[in-house]
Amino acid sequence: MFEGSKISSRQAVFLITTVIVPTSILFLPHMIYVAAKRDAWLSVLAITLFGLGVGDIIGRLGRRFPGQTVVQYSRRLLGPVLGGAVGLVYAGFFIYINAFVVREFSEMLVTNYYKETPQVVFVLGIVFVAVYIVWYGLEVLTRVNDMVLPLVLIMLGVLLITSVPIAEPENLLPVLDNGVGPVLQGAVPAAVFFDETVIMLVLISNLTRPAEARVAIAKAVLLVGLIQLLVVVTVVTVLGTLTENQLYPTLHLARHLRVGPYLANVDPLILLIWILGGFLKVTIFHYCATICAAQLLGLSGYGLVSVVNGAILSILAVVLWEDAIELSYQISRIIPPFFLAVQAGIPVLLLAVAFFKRQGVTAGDRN
Amino acid sequence: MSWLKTLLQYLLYHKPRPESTVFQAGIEDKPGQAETGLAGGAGGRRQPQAAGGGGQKTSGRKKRGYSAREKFSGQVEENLSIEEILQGEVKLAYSLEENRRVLAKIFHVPQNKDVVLRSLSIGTNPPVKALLVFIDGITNAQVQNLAILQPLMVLSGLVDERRGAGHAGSVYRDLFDRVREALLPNNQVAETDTYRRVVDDVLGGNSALLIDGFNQALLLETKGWHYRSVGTPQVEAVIQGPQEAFTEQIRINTSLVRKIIRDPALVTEFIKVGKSSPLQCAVMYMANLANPDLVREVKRRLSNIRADYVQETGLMEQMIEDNPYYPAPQVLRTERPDRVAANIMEGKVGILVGGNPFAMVVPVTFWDLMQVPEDAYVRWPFGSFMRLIRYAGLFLAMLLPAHYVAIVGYHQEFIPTDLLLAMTGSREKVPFPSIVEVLIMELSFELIREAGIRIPGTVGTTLGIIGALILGQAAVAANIVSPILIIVVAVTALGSFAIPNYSFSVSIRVLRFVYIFLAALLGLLGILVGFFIHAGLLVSLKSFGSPFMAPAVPVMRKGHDYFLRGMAWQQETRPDYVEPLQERRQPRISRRWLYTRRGRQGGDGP
Repeated sequence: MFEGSKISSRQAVFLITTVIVPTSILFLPHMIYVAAKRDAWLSVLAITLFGLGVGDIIGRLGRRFPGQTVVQYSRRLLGPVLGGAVGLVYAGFFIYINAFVVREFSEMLVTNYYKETPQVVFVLGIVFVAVYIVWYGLEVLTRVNDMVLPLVLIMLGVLLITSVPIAEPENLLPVLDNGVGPVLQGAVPAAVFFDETVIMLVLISNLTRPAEARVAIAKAVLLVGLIQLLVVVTVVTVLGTLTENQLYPTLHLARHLRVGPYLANVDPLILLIWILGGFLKVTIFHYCATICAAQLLGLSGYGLVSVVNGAILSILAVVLWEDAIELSYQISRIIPPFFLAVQAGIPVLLLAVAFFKRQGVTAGDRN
Repeated sequence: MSWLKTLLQYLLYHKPRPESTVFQAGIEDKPGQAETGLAGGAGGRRQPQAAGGGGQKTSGRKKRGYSAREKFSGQVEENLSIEEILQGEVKLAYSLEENRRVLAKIFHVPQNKDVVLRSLSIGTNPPVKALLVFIDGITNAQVQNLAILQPLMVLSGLVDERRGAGHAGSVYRDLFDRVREALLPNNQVAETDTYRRVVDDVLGGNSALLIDGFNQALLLETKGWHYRSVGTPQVEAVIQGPQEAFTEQIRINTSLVRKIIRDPALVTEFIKVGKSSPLQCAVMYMANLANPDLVREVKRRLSNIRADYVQETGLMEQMIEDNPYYPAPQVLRTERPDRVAANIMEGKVGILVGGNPFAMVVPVTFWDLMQVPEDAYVRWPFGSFMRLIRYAGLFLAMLLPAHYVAIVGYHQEFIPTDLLLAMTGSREKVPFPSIVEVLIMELSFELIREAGIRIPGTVGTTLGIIGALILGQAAVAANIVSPILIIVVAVTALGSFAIPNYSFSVSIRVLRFVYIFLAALLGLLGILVGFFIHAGLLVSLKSFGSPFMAPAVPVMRKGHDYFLRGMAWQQETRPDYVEPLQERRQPRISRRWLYTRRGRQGGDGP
C-alpha cells in the first residue's frame, strides 16, 4: 500500500467494471463481429472465460503479496534490475493504454459530435479531470465511481430495454455455421479489453481484505461478461449484418432507435455512458500509471508524478496516431499480442517465479 | 434698502468652512498610520510635527504618525486596566465603596445611563449598607421590587433578631449567609467573588447585590427583556406537523426541544463564544446516543473560536464549518424544534445560538439538505414522491439551462426533429448566441428574486407581475429571447425553489452559472467535466468528520430514510455515519399489535 486509501472488494468490483465496460460496449461489437459474424456472442463467452483465468492469476499474485503493488514485489521476486524492468514495463503500459483510451475517446467525440473542435481540446479536458481526481487519491476516485457507475449501468439498461421491440432474434441463427475458428478469432482482440483486470496488480494493495481479491475479480469479469453479452446480442439482433460497416455499432443502434412516436434520438445516452465511464476509466488507468511511476522512482508522494504523467499522456494521445482508422487498426491488429503479454504473460511468469521461489504469503502460511 | 442688503448678503455669501471630519485624526489617516507603524523609529521622529495642529490638508496629515490610540492614550489605558480587571479574575474588595468605584469604572457609569448602581441599606439592626447593580431595561423591575428590595429594606427587620447573624444558636454563618438563605425570595441565587462574573451576569440581565464588609456578591435572577413569542415557522413551513418555530430566546429554544424529547439523557451544555459579546451557545445531544467524539469535536470547535463578535448563526456556521471554500453548506440550519429533536434522536448534535431563531445540526449530509420534516409526517408513498420531485427540481435547477445551451449550440441532433424545428424556428429572430440569451434571462430572474426579497411588503405583489409577466412577455416580443428559453428559466426557477434548504439552494443557483459557462465552452462534454469535478468535490467533502454523501458514497448501511422515505416501522436503525452509541432505533417488530392476540391487553405480546 503506497497511498493510504483503502477500498472494499465491492468497490474493486465496481472499479474493474468501470474500466472495462465503457470502451468495450462501444468498440467490441464491431471488432468481434468482423471475425465471428453472428456467433459474436459465443466469442464473448470465450473471452469471459479467458478473462476469468487471467483475473484469477492476478488475484493469486496479489494475495501472495498483500499491501504491495506489482512494482514492489517484482523487485523482490526478480531482483532489482529485472524487477525494475518489469515495473518500468507496467508504468509504461498504463500510460500507453491510457493514451489509447484518451485518443479513442476524443476521436469518438470529434467524429460523432464535435466535428469542428480540435482533438487536443478533448484530450486536455479528459486528462485534466483525471489528474484532478487522482490528486485527491484513490478513495475519492472510488467514491466518484460508486456514484457514477450505477448511473452508467442504468442508462445502458434503458438503451438495451428500449431496443428489445426492434430486435430480430433470427439474426443470430444459424449458430456456429462456420465452426469454432471464427469465434476464437473474434475473441482475440476482445481479450485485450477483458484483461484490463490488470489494474488490480496495483489496486490489490489498497484492498481492505486482499484475500477476497480473486473473488472480486471473478465477480467483476462475470458482470462485465454479462453486460457485454447483452450488448453484443442486442447489437447483432437489431442491426444484423449492418454491424460490420459501423465503427461504433452501439451508437448506430442508439441513433436509429425509435420506440413509439415520441421516444427517439436516445444517443445522448451513449454519449453520457461514454463520457462518464470513459472519464473514470482514464482516471483509474492514470492512477495506476502514477502509482507505478512514483514507486519506480522511489518517491514518497505522487501528486507531482500525476501532473507529469498527465502531460506525457496528453502528448502521447495526440501524437501517436494519425486518425481513427490507424487507431482502430492498431487496436485490433497490432497491439493485442503485446498487451496480452503484459496483461497476462508477465503475471503468469511472476506467479510461477513466486511459486518456485516460495515467496510471499501462500494459503498455508496464513492459517 | 433692506432688499439690497439681502441681495448683497446673498451674493457675497460664502459657506463657513466645514469640519473636514469628526475624527481629528481622520479615517483617511489609517493607511499612512500603518506605514509609520511599520517604520517604527520614523514615527517617533514625526511626532513633533504632528503637534502642529489639525488644520492642514489631508495629504499633509497622511505623513504624520498621529492615531486615535495616541491621542486618547489616557482612555486606552483605562480600557486596558478594565480589561485587566475582567480578564485577570480580580477578586471583589471588602469595602463597598471600593467595589462601587471599580464597578462604576467598568461600566463607565456617570456617562452610561443604562447601568444602575442602587444603594440601599438592609434593615437589620444595625442597618448594613448594600449595593444593587443591574442594567435598566433588561431586568424585570417588578421582580426586583418584590423579591429583592422589599424583603431587604422592609421585611428584614421583622425577622427575629436573636436568630440573626453572629448570635449563638444562629443557623446562619453570617449576615451574607442570612441574606442569601432567608431574605431573598428569588428562585435562582448564585454567589461569586470576582468582578468578571458580576459583570457577566449583570450584562446578562441579572442583578448583583454587594454587601458592605463582604468580598462576595449575590447574583439574582431578574432577567426580563422583551422578546418575540414562539411563532410559526416562516422558512420551513409544513402543512401537516408541528407549527412551532424557534425564537431569539435561547432558553425558550432549548425548552422547545426538551419539550419534545422528554428524556433525562438529553444534555444541554452551554458554551460562550466570542469576546466582546460572549454569545451563549447551547450544545444539545443525547448522552446515550451521540458519539462522544462528535460531541467533543463540536465543543472543541465552538470553544476555540477567537472572535470579537459572532452574533448570528450564519457567522457561527462560517466559523465552524469544515471546508469554507466549497459552496454547499456543511451544517444544517433549521428553525424547527421538531427537526432538531429528530436529528438529535439520530445521534447528531444540535447547536442553538442565543439571539437567533435558527439552530444548527451537525453533521449534515447531502440527503439531509434535501429533506423536509413533512416527508416524515405524511404517509410514506407521498413522502417518497415529494422527495423524488425535489431531486428532480435540484437537477433541473442546476443543469437545465446548461443543457439548453449545450443542445442549441452543439447537439441539435439530440432532440426529435419536430421539436428541433420548433426550437430553431422560435430562435430564428433572436440575434444573440444561446449563452447570451440564457445569461440575460437567468440574471434578470436572479434580479427579480433579489429585488423581491428586499422590496417592502406592500409593493411585493406588483413586482411578481412585472417580473414574470411583463419582462418575459416583452423579452419574447422584442426578440431578445426565445419562448422556449422562458420555459427553461421558469422551470429552473421552480426547481431552485423546490430545494428546501435555503443556503443549499443559493449554492445551486451559483453553480448553475458555472455549468452554463462550461456548456457554452464544450457542450455536453463540458457539463460532464463539471459534473465530474463537482462529484469529486462532493465525495471528498466532510461535515464534522462524516462524509457529505454518506450513506450513498461511501456505501454504508442504509436506513430506509435517505433517498426515499421508507415506512415508519422500517426505520429501525440510526444512520451509520454518525456512529451512534445505540444503533437500533426500534425493535425489529415495531408494530407489535400485529402479533398480540386480540382481546389481550398490554404490550407484552407473545
